[in-house]
Amino acid sequence: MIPLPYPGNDLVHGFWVGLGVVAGLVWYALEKRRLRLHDDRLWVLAGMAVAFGALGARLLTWPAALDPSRTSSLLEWWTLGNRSILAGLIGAWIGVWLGKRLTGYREDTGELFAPAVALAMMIGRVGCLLTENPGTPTGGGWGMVMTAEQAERLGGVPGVGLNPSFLYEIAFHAVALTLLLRWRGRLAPGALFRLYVAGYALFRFAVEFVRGNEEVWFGLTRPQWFLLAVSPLLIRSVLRALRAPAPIHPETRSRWASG
Amino acid sequence: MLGIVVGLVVLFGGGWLFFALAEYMRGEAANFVGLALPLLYLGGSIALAVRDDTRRFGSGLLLAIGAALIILAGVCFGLLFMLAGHG
Repeated sequence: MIPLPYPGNDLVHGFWVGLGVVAGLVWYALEKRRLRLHDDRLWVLAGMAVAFGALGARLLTWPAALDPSRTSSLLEWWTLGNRSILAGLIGAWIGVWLGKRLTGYREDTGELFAPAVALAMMIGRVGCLLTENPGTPTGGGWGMVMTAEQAERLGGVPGVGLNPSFLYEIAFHAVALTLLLRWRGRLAPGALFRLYVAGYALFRFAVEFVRGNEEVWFGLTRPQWFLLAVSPLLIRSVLRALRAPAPIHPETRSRWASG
Repeated sequence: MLGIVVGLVVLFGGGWLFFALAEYMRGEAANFVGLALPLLYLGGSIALAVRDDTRRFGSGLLLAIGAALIILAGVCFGLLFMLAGHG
């Protein structure tokens, strides 16, 4: 069994998350250059995605607390509350939507963003793997292990093998990145990003059963309830994207496919 | 790139300056400044990013606040808000 290397170490966590963000932005810049997309409004969209993603990761989890008696003030939630990748994705999505409205950019950007997001999440989750409560007990003699002191601090079960749930998530994003690169240019505009988000939603719902998060209602965690709540929108969005006809921008499409 | 550098300098410099001055402010004033500064920064960044001639600079400012919030896990702004709230 492998001990948790840096329990609760914000510096290590911040380093890996930062590395993920930088890698995602570098990827975005290289893709933008490879596709010869010189429109500066794409940088506005990237900025809006990162800024609103960061704000959303913190602020959007505030009303998502299902137990009203435990909902704290916005100030308290900002300083001490949870951060959520799911809320961050929603925030980033809102940011890009708002950026498009403000700048008048009309073309689809999903295929530009999706691989960058997958790469950023894959790297960023290493920080979680090294510092956070790994997950529920595996029930066998394998997994990650925490001491009693670490378990009390981070929540979780001490002295037994725990599911490395963040490793599962890293593997998911690695596979997703491979598929995104293989399928780019072959689907309707926007379909790739929506499929990636839908796939992540499904994966995340499943992995929550071994993540070790608090079960709030009917044995489901907050992220699972959140995913259930947004699933109709997600399904509708994916179906609409898949039903879309020919690519809107054939010249761009051929460049996507050739890469 | 210039926008990112300027943004980080403004964010960290502004945060440091705020902490230095907050102890001399009344609670309400510190609270107002602590809440208004980040919103002003965000609004200003968006306004610059939308204009054609300052688009890249504004985008850099947006990337800077996003990166600062993500990488530092909101610690700086959290402290800023906390100080403003209890100051």
